[in-house]
Amino acid sequence: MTDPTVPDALDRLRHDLGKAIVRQVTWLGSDPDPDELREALAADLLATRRSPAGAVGAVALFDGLRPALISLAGDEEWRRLDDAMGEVRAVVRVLERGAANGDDVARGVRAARAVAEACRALHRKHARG
Amino acid sequence: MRSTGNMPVGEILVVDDEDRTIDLCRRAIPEHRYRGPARSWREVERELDRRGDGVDLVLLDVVFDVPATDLLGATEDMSKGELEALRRRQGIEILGWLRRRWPELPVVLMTSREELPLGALSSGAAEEYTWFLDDDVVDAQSLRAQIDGILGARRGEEADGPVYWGRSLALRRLRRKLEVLARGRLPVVLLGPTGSGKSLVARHVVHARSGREGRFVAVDLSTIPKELCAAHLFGAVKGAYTGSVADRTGAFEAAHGGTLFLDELGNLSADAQKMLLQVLQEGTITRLGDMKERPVDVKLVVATNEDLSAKVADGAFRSDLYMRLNPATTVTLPALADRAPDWEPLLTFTLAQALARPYLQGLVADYREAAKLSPGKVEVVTGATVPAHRDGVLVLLFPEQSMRALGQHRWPGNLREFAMVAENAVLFALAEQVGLPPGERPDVVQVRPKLVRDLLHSDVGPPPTGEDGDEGGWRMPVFVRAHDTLNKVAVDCERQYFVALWKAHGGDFSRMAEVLLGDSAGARKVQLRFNQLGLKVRDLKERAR
Repeated sequence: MTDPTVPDALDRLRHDLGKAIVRQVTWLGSDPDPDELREALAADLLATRRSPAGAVGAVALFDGLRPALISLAGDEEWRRLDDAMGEVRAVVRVLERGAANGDDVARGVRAARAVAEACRALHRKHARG
Repeated sequence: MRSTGNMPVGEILVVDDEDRTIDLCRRAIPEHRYRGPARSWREVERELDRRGDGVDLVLLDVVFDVPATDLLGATEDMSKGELEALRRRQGIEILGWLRRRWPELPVVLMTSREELPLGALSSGAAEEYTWFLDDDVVDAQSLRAQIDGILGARRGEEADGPVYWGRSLALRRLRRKLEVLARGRLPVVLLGPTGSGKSLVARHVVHARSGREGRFVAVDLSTIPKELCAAHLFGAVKGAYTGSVADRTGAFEAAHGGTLFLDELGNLSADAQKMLLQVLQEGTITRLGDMKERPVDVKLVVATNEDLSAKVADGAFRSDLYMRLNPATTVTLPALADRAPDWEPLLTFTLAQALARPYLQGLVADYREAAKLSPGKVEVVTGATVPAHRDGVLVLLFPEQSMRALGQHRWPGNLREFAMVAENAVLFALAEQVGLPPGERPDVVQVRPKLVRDLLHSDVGPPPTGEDGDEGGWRMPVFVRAHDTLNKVAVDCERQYFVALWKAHGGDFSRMAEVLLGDSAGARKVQLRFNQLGLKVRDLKERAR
């Protein structure tokens, strides 16, 4: 039987993390200016949710949701998400140092998109039964 | 508010507990104006109550991470899990509530349809005004295209034809009702004060949407002597009445297969009322003096600003005819003063029509030439901000005080009066500039508040009571337009003279006849000419008030 907290956590995972982690990067379209892309990626990863209460980054969001989704640990999509979040953590560290080059940005964008896709897939698979 | 071409940019309300959407929109789609973010349904309500019809579109997020006290649909006995679920679908709750208060307000739900829980939205009318993103996350170009598509379609709908509907929900509903009535067989009854657009609506909405291929025929019953009314409407055979020298086709036959618009229905003679009843009951007419019934297929539209029920009570209007004019098909057009939120777009709309007229186009061309401006479009701008120079764009600037003057006027003549004032304001503003040395911004022609106020209070001059001993007549100022034909100038002068006389003699047609014809018994002739000039006693009385 599904843990009752899982559907709620999956909704939050898809919306708060999966959608928000690619919002500004996607917003720029298919051929963005490199500086704008770096700025957008930084906003997506470091200030993934923004409200009057403050900004929360992608890593903190994911870590906050992970306990509620522990039952999915064996799922292939979850592993894919976990791997992609590993990439995100690495890029976040570079971004926080202000040292991201073009390759780091490209890697971060790929990782963010993989996170978005995995969140969506997990949601489809488990939240709707 | 700014206009792009002739259409204002969109006012978009962002409903989101985060700042990101509105920040992105402001940066990437700056041509629209954004309100918000409204972070809860209460803030949405506050914003829409304040701005009302000014909001063109709502961008609505789905998930709202807000305190339980700000959640729409939250109750005290809800568990933590239930509240969390409510936060996840708060956008849907807000959408449902919006639909009850503002059913036709366009809303873009900031998610893809496939990501919504099944059955989350009710089907039907609400969905007609609800859009989704193509994907869960979109790029700026896609969202811009979607917004422009929605706003463009909506404005195309509103700007269809010469009738101004504006953005108010009540008027859009009224328009839809008319479009439905246009297709039915029942007569349409148009009520509303003078100048509120009844004849435009009859022609450009009812007739245009009726699907009928016949003609649109309009008859103003106030201009037809009562004794000729029946013949005019239903036709007559030779010799049916004194002066009837040939068979005559009436308005009903002329409108066969089309639409007949009878304005000022209260003036219908008793005979004509009886014959109109025959048309409504049998679908046939009988020409005066004839025995033969002729079938007619006419969409009938009648208009009046009189209280017909009072006329029925007085015996001046047949009760059976009154009953036939079904209340369900009655549409009341509002007075202009009741459409206050619509001033700016109405001005833009009205001037777009006026600027298409040759005489104003000529004046604009003269001005451009004198000011050494290249050809291009004319843009109407209201408010305090003067836009930056753009090559070829001539700006007609209505400062805030000018707009305030327009908004504060009572407009007894309604849309007709508004169109005349707006057109004249532009005419005079341009004419004032021609011949003057160009200023710093020759591309901006300001319609000054004083000019607007003067026009609003000019009417047609004082009554001609000051006798000129030398000439044995009166002096009175007369308003005529540049480039009008001499015939039109003559009619305008005559009309203003009649109005001035009417005022000077307290509306007594016998006394007017004394002045005009030297015979007070000629009151009927004077009244007939008065009507032919398009003057209406009711209008003048309203203006006098």
